[in-house]
This record gives sequence, structure tokens and C-alpha cells, in this order.
Amino acid sequence: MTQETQESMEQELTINSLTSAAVSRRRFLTGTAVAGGLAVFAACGKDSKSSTDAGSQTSQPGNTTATTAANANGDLDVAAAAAGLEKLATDTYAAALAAATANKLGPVPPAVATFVTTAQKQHQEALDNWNKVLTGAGKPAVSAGSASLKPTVDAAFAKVSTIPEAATLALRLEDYASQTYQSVLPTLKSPDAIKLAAQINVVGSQHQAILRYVLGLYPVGAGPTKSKTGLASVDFAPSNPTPALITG
Amino acid sequence: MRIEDGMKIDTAAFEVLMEESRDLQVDAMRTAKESLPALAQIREERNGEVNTDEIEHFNDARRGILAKMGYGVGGVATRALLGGGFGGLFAGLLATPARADTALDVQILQTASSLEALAVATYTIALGEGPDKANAPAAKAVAGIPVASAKATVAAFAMETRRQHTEHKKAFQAQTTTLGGKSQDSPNPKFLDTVMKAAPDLTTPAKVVDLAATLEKVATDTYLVNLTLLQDQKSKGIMASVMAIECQHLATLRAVAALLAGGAPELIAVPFPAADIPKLPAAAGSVAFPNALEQIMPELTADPTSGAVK
Repeated sequence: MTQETQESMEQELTINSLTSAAVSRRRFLTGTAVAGGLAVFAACGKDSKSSTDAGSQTSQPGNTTATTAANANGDLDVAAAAAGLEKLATDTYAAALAAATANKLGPVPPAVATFVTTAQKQHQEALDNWNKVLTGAGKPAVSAGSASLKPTVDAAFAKVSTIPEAATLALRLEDYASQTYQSVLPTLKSPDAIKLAAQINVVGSQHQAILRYVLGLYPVGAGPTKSKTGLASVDFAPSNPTPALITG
Repeated sequence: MRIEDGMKIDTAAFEVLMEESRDLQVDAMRTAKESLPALAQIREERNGEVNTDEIEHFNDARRGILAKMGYGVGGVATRALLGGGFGGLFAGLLATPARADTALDVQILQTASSLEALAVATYTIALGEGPDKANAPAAKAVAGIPVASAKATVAAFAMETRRQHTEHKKAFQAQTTTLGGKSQDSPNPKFLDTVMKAAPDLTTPAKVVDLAATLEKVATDTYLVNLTLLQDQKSKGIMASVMAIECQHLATLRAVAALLAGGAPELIAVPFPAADIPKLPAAAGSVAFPNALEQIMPELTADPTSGAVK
């Protein structure tokens, strides 16, 4: 097995783990109450009544504590993974800004400079919000970019030498993040977690729209893909995050 | 007409809303009293197997709706309702034993269909294909964009966006029928009113773009809120995937609006020429996403049941 294959499998595993954790939680918790806030859902079992509904498959009397823990860990796993992605995006935009400042990418148009600064700040705010969720639940804050994806992004960034190339990599990373959020949004349990993920995903999708426009693509779409007609590349946002979205 | 950036208070209209609000409270309290026996009946039909978690979910969701409607937690109305057993308000929705939330999910999907229907109709008017054809003020405004490439780009965007909203409507309608509901094909009444009031005054490209942006914001915010209310997982997936497209429409329209306002319509072009990137104003890199987290604007959010088939 090549190192690349192994890394790819690890990355897939990470995403699959994220999804399967949510799915198993869903199966496990059919009928379990949704707590009002992330700290509440994560940390306490106040609302973890076991269901007596016939449709509830596995929530049995006596399993209340385990059920609550599974719910908490599932959403918190997503929060930690999302924070890792946001940190990676923040670091990548910072690296692009540093490269531009060092004149390694050629002249930087004003709109591009503003975009990079704004996107970096917004991903940092997204990271801060996920970290609030984690620390509020007694978990450590995330301070490093996604370990599984970072080598892929770093390798791609090493090849960047122009502004359009930097914009294309940013678009790929935004697409990966967006598809990750799309894949976990239907599985999250806490309304506050859903809201936060959706609010972040909206802004990430909008980053994509402007990057696509600047790169000469139709603004509505996913990643750097073109449609045959030159119009929108997708009608429904996709939800299949794979490292290939970064590497092309 | 742009209501995204701030509301002007119309005191007369506000009084009407207050009156409606008072009526709503009276109706809600009456319904609460009436529905408590219904809840008891459901419990009896289920041989005592009323799922308290379902009721709690309903309470959580409806508290959110109430808060949005101005009945915040701790308010007089909310205390009265909760004191009277707010879960009872929606006991009728619990009447489906296997999937208690299906009825609400169907209404949410119908409302989403109604917003898509409205978007389709609005873009149709802007394209000069509505009842007034090319005489509609919006159609004249688009036709009057002075730079040919910008005019062609805006028209092509309106055409493509209408097609996408049509696809979204079909998806919501199909999911509605999958869940056993009736397909909604009529425009959302609340925001249809907004469009109808704005239509005569859509005399400039900027006004047309702003109205379109308002409708895209309504869709984005409504779907975002709906994601926290839906129970059916497939419906959530559809809603999320549509939301991510509507917000790109919104981003594009915000950028176009800024370019129009900045007197640079020549920079509205798809595909955008690489040679023109340095000409874009700095604000073009940030105007489409003013906040790190998309801010939900209650006045631009359709109530989840507002487009339900009656």
C-alpha cells in the first residue's frame, strides 16, 4: 500500500466515522428528546427520557445514561471535526496571505486581498464558535487543522504560484468543507448544532460563489467544476466530501 | 425595494399587526384548552403509549416559533400557553402514531414549495414573461441595463435561477407526496404580498436585484430555520442542499447590487474575464457575506406552516 493510498483511506475513514457516528446515534436515539442548547445536550441527562414508543428500537429502560452519552459524543464528534476543518481553512488562507504579502503570487488585486482577509476572519469565527461548543461541554478546544486532510492541502498549496491557482485551491477547500457540512447536517440532533452548522455552511457556499465568479465560472456551483452549458454546475449542493475534491 | 438592510416602521401597519397578534394569542389559548382533551384521547388510543419525548420536541420547536412571532420565553403569552400545556396545542399533529412529526414536516415542505413557486413567478416577471410581458416595470428595468454584457448576464442569471427554483420546487413537492401530503404549487401568501406591493415600483435594475435578493434571503433563512424543525432525515437533506444553492443566488445578487450601486455594470459578466479581476473594487471580496455566520432575519423568514395546503 502506498503512502498516498493509506492517507486516502485514513481520510475516508475519518469522514465515514463522522457519518456513521451520527447514523448510529440516530438509530440508537430514536425518540430521545432534543435538548435546547449544546451545553445541555452535551453534558447533562436531564432530557434523556427513554422512549416507550413502539418505533423506538434500542432505547430501553436503564440505558438512559449510555443513550445520552452517545448523543453527546455524536454531535461533539461532528463539532470537533468541523473545528478541525475550520482551523485548516484559516491556516490555509493565512498562508495564502503570507505568500501574497511576500510577493510570491504576483500582483494581488484589491478584491482578492479583501476576499482572503475576510474569508480567513470568517473561518476563524466559525472555529471559535465550534470551540465554544466543545469547551462548553468540557471538551478541549481544537487548535490544529484536520490531521487527516492537512497533508493533502499542504501538498496542493506547495504547487500554488499564482493568484488564480490560490483562488482555485481556496475554492476546492471551501467545496470540501461545504460537502462535509451537507453530509452531517441531516444527522445532527441538537437544534443549536444544526443552526450553527447551517449558518457556517451558508457563508462557505457564498465564498464559493464569489470565487467561482472571479475565476470565470458561473457563480452558482460546487468547487471548480464547469457545466456543459456554462451555467450552474449543480442544482442541489452535493454532500460527498472526499480528498479528491482537494487534489482535483 | 429592499427590506434586508433595515425595516422602516409603518405605525399603521404595526397597529394592524398588534391587533392580529392579540387575536392570535386569544385563538391560541382557546385552541390550547380545546386540544387538551384531544391529547388525552390520543393517549387512550395508544393504550397509554404517548411519547413524552415527541411532545417535548413539539414544545421546543413551537417555543422557537412563538419566540419568532414575538411571544418570547418569559413573556405573558408564553407563560399562559405553557401553563396551559403548550404541547396540547399541537395534539392534533400527534395523531399519527408512527411518525408524530410527519404532519409538520409536510407543512414545512409545502411552505418551501410555496417560496419556490413565488421565486419562479418573480423571475418570470423580470424576464418579461409574466402577465404584463415586457411592459412589466421589472422587465423594462432589466431591458434598460445600459451595458449590453451586463444586461445579457443579468437576464441569463434570471433565466437559470428560475430554472433552478423550478427544480427545487419539484424536489420539495415530490418529498411532500412521499410523506403523504398534498403538493403545494401556489406562491407563499405572505411574501407574494411583498412582491405585489413592490412590483409597480421596480423601475430600476437595482430595485429588481434587491427584490430578488430579498426573496433569496427569505428562502435561505427559512430553510435554515426549518433544518432545526424537520424530523424526516431525507427532507433535511433536501432542505440543506437547496439552502446552499439559494444562498449562492443571494451572494451573486449582493455582488451585482454592489456593482450596480458602484456604477460599474461593465464588471457584471459571466464568464468574468481574468484581465478584469484587478478592476473589481475591494468591496467585491466581502460584500456577498457580511457575517461569519449567516444572520437569520425574522422578518424575512416564512413561518414553517405559512405555505401549507389548506
